[in-house]
Amino acid sequence: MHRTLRSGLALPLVALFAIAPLAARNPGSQAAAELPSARSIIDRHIKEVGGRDAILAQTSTHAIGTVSLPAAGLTGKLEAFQAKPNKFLQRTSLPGIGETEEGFDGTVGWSISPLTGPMLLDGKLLEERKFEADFFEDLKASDRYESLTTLEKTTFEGRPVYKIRLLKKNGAEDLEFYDSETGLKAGAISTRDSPMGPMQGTTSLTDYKKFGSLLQPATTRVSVMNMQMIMAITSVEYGKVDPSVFAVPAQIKALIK
Amino acid sequence: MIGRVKVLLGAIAIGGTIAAVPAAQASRGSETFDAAWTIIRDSHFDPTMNGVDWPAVKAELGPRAARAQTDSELRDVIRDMLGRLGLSHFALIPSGRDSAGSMPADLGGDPGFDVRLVGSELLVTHVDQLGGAASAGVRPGWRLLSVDAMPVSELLSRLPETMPDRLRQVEVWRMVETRLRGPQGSQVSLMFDDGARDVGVAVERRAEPGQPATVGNLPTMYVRVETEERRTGYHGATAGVIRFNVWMPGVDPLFQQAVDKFRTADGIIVDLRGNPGGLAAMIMGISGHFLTERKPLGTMKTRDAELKFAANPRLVNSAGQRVEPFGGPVAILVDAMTGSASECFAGGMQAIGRARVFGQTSMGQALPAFFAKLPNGDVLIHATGDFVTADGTRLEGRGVVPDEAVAIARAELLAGRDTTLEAALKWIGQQGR
Repeated sequence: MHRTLRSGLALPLVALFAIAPLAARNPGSQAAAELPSARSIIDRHIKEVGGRDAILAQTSTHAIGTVSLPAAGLTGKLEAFQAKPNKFLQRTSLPGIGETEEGFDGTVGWSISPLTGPMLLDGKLLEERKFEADFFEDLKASDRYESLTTLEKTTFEGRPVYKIRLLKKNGAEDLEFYDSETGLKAGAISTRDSPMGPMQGTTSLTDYKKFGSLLQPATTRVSVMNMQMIMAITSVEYGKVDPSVFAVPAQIKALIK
Repeated sequence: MIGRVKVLLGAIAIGGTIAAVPAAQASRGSETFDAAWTIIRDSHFDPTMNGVDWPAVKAELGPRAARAQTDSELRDVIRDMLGRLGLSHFALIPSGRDSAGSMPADLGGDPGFDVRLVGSELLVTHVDQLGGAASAGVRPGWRLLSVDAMPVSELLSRLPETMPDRLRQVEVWRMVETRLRGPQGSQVSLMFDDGARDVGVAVERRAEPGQPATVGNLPTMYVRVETEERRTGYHGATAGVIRFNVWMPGVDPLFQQAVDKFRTADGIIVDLRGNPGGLAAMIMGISGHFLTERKPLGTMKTRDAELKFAANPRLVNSAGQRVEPFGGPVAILVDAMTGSASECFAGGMQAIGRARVFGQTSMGQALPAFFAKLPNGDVLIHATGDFVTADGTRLEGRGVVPDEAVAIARAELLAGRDTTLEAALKWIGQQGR
């Protein structure tokens, strides 16, 4: 498993090595010195969406919306539950395909797909699921990362952005883009493990709207291997999630030895 | 972000791979042509475009697309472009019907029998017991001579003599199937040779059996899963036979029930004859009924990534109880109309030594494909990956070569025998589980 993961990561690492020298090439240059720190860019985003206190005041969320794969002509329902510290359940339903569920109850990571059946996550898949399940993920707590580095000011999806590298403690890294004018997060490029191996995706976050006390991106576009998936949120409810929603389904329990 | 949806990259990988058998307007001609050309340029798994000078193709065909007067003419130009690649899974699904098409407007009725080309003869290989053909007395082994006065020999003569047998099989089937189908309740006049004399019958086209399944832009398909328990004739051994006609999500729970039913059998036979494929990701779930580890059946190689189609061991039965995947011998039946996801499954299981394959060499059209909507509303099916089995075998253009080749013989069909199934039963009986 370890060897597979290492070889599987070869591709994204090539891309990352292409980026790293840009940041390290001339650290003392005037350009680098003029760039704001990654922490300050993230903190500005946090302030723009409602502030750290408003985020930390939340205990759970329930989002409802739609998911679509335009090229395949598919549009369905999307429902996502999250609770602190790190529980989540996401349910998508596509006509002709059926319902897919992904969950994490703080310990057990799992998925149930009408295409591949129930699956218990382990190894790197479970590790990634646990990391991403953090309810306050977007605060980018420094103890969760090895380093946060501003790489450059560039453009992303036609917007002026700061590009930030987030190096995780396990060596994996993501690139995130924050709008230099609005301060809001504009998107990310990340590689995630999947049952089929590592996949690189580009995520763009748009249509920020106020849901309760927080500003949220109502539209998330994900592009993987030339296929685009659009997730649109229509409502978000806070603090009313029944904890039982995160219970591991019976067919997943049966997989746990 | 609190309340934001999780971006689960794996969820986007539905992995459609379906045998490209589209049924068949020139608005936005140049724009549509250019979009299709660009999508393929940017996503083809082979940067050399299979040796085709892609800019030259655009220079040649682009002006024709711009001059196209009708949508049908435009589609012909785009299909010409796709054909230059010489690969499966590059096809066009029209947003409406071709105005110049020669097919009947409604193809929802089916006479209820299947044919295969054996040498120069088109033989009935299967008759649906609830179909119009069965009611008209049509039997396996009969030779189809004409469809609505169109001689089969004339259809065959339209194919280039240099066409490889594997492609000839698929093209003949497509030409005949197009003529056999029509509006439900209508009749098709057929002439057969029943082995002793020529027989003319009028066959009613009936609704295609099965559960209708529509996934996005794909045409509606009818899902059928059939099971039967058979005695092998050896040592009292029994085998469960599971047949399904297309890889659609509705198959999975029925397949699960079938495996549960046959858990104590001495072997399981998965009959994929005539199954043209469907959603490729499903091969990971179906193969998991026979594997205890996440073994890759094969790899989809795109231009810049490799995705493994690994089995998901199915450790829970349909009642939600923990079980072990079926550990006995597994036979897979294939024929010339076994395509795409079916080939990935059969070839993958064969490559890892988990199944023995019986029958005739399959289509050789096994490229995982995605869809893209074009400016005129048509949908482009375009292969984004090459499928290579775990032992390095590339199935595109080759097909799955059976471990035990069983030729279709007319005399056996006329005698009511299914020699491919018999060979698989014999093998299972000899395994002595």
